[in-house]
Amino acid sequence: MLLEIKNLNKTYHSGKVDFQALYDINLSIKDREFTAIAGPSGSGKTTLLNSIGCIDRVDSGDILMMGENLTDKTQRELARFRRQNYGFIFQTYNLIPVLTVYENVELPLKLLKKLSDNEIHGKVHEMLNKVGLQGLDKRMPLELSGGQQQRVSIARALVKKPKVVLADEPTANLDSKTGQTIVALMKELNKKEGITFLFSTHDHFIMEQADRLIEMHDGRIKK
Amino acid sequence: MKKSFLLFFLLIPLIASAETADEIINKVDQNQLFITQKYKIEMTIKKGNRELAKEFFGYGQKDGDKAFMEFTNREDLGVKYLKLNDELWIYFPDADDIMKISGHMLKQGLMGSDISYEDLLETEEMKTKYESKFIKSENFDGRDCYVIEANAKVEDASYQKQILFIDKEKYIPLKIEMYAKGGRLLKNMLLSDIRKVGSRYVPWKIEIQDKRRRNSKTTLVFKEIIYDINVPENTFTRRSLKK
Amino acid sequence: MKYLFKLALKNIMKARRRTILTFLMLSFGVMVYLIMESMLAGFDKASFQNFIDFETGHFKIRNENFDEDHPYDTDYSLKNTDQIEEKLKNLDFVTGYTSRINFLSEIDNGIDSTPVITVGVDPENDSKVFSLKKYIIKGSLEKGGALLGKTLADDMKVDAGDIIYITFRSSKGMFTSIELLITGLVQSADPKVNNLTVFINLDEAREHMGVEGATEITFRVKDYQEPERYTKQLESDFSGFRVQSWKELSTDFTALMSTKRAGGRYFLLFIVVIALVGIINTLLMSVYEKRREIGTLMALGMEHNEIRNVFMIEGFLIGFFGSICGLIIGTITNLYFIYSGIDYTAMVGEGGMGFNVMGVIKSSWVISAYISSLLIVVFASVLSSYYPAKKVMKMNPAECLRTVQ
Ligand SMILES: Nc1ncnc2c1ncn2[C@@H]1O[C@H](COP(=O)(O)OP(=O)(O)O)[C@@H](O)[C@H]1O
Ligand SMILES: [Mg+2]
Repeated sequence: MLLEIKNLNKTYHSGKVDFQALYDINLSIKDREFTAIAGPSGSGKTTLLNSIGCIDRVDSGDILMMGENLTDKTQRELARFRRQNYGFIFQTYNLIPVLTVYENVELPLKLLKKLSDNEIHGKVHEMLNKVGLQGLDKRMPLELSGGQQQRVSIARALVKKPKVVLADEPTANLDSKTGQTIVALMKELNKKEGITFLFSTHDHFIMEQADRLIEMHDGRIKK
Repeated sequence: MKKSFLLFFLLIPLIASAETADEIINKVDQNQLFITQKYKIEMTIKKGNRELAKEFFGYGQKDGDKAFMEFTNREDLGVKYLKLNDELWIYFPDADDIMKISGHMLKQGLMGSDISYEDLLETEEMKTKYESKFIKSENFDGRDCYVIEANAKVEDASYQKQILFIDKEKYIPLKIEMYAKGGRLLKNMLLSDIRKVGSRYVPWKIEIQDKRRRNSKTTLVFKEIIYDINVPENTFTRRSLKK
Repeated sequence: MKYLFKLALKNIMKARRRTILTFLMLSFGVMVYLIMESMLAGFDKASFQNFIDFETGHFKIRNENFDEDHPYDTDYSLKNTDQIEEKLKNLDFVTGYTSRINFLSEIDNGIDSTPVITVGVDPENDSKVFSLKKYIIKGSLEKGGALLGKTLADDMKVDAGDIIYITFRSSKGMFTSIELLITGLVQSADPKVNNLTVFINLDEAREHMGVEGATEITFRVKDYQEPERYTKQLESDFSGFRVQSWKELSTDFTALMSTKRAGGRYFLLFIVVIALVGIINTLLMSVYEKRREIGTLMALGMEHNEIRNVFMIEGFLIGFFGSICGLIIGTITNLYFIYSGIDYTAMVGEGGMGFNVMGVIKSSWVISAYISSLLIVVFASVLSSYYPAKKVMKMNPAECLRTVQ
């Protein structure tokens, strides 16, 4: 089992009001699985993905990745862990606006600090080819369409060959046709590269592409 | 009596000699003899079209050649002068500072007047430094006067020559002309409004004209003068300046 | 670290208006500072040159009891000037000497009077020590005549050919008034000479003043930069006199100069304040605006302190390039001030700026201004970026990513 989530609880404290966003989540994800998390807005999809991705703290429960418990790591250890094992794709793409397409894709490899410039160059171009952006490496993000930007974002998430890619509503900002091609690309890479995908969506067509569907409602997983 | 105006409020008696001219001068000195004095003066300084009015009071003591002055007009309120023998200090209330006047600054006019600080320090004696001689009798300002010419005997006299017009009846100089080495008339001093105070005659008005500048003159008018009174204690000390 | 630099540099290159404004303000400040320091150094140099050329010479011999507080008193003068001059003539390192009498008098034209410095000048030797002769703009100094500063003559409304009087008390105390024909006018780089000096013949000054010799003998030496090397011999040759080098004669002057130069340092402080305010403001806004970007970088595995460092490096780069840019523009502008100079008298009038100079002044290079402005501005920039940058440390990546923009 690649990822195991046990009895996860998360409460938001905003001002004087407490809001429990996750109730006793138990979930296992297998290696190479292509999993969708579905559920209405506010059901806790983002919160769950953030918790798994260790970019937010949880109240109780365990997150085990390849047997390693992530809940008792320090902030710095988590940053390093993410760097090695996680890829992120966001609804709003979140490319770094001052960097070119090439530089955006290169960023995660630079952070790894162990590859030569030549190796990086090869990997980035290979990845750009895979997402169909060959020739656009010198463009700035704002010169690209939404679909192209999301492809860059996918390339950025995959270039370092992470264990898991977490994608929070990757198609929500795109028209349905583009959204479908993006999911198709994700699925293709999942199969070819053998990378585990966990993504949230509330688009039925996209849910249908998933190997497995997890439905959420009011912070709980529907059985 | 060579004198700048201070004779009349800062100063010292003169000692006469046996000659006729000297006798006249001796009588002038007799008239001005005092132990202590207190006075109040209004001073008007005229320079071209500008006119400044100032007011001060002061004490003098013959013994030790001491004098103290304090200004009472608004612009100079609290400015004080202290003269002890041949040293002069000024106190400025704005700066709250006592300054010793010397060198270059002694040439400057007291409060912008035609009287220089140096004039204030004048203590020389007529008898030792000047040779007086009677020239003639002449009417000046409606009064019968002796005209006396005083020529410097020594190099350290202030003026090379002075000509005095002395009232024959009251023994008060009515006019003193002061000449520099080189023969140039530097200053005129005119004394008028002679009044009797106790046993002596006092010129109530003194005018000093600087002949090197056009329209430049300083006028002093007594408001009050009292002789031989008790000077308040510590008046002639530097402490009194800062008070 | 190298990569963080690259990121920061990319951010700066794509800078927003605020960053550019801060950058420009720093550049401008550094530029003005550089120009100002060079100008002050130029003034300094010119002032010293004037001071030597018109007032101190390289060395002065005066009476042992000469009173520095009353430099125009003639009470303590040199009696045997011929003897001293003869001795100086035999010293091989002395290149010229002259006697002068200085005293105060009042000049008048029968209408107005004003206090002046009167200088009795030896017509043969004076030009071997002082630059006076070079600056005579009309006529010359002749017997029975006077040479007046141009400004003084203008103030007194007289010209060459007119008569003036000077009145003073001789060394014994007698009021003396002499009539003088203005035979020449002088306009120099020294305001003191222009505004309040009357030059007359030395022998006439001796006679009128009743002084036998002179109040001072001034001389020049071969190596004036290091007057110390002559002091020992001069002290033994002229024991019983006061012998002082231009360095000793200018201690008050040096102190005055350094207070004037402090002005430049206050200006640097002012730039530091711009740096603080500008950079704190710019980076604070930037950290706030880039929250989602910060969240993304954190998700990608960048550590909190690495992101903080990116912002601090941005502060450093703004300061560094701002200074460099200011220094380059300042240097280019300075070329004009240094090689052509500027006529400050024409700009601010003959009252000057309290400096002992007039006419065209050339600025000087000040290497220390480059170093100090670069170091101080960079240091202030890094320091002021610390406060906004450390806000990153408390940021939660999930919260950052949720921000709507
Ligand atoms: N920072 C927060 N403070 C308080 N409540 C929050 C915060 N973030 C999310 N929530 C709430 O938690 C619930 C789950 O949110 P989220 O995980 O974003 O759901 P989803 O992604 O499924 O739309 C929502 O009701 C949301 O209002
Ligand atoms: Mg969501």
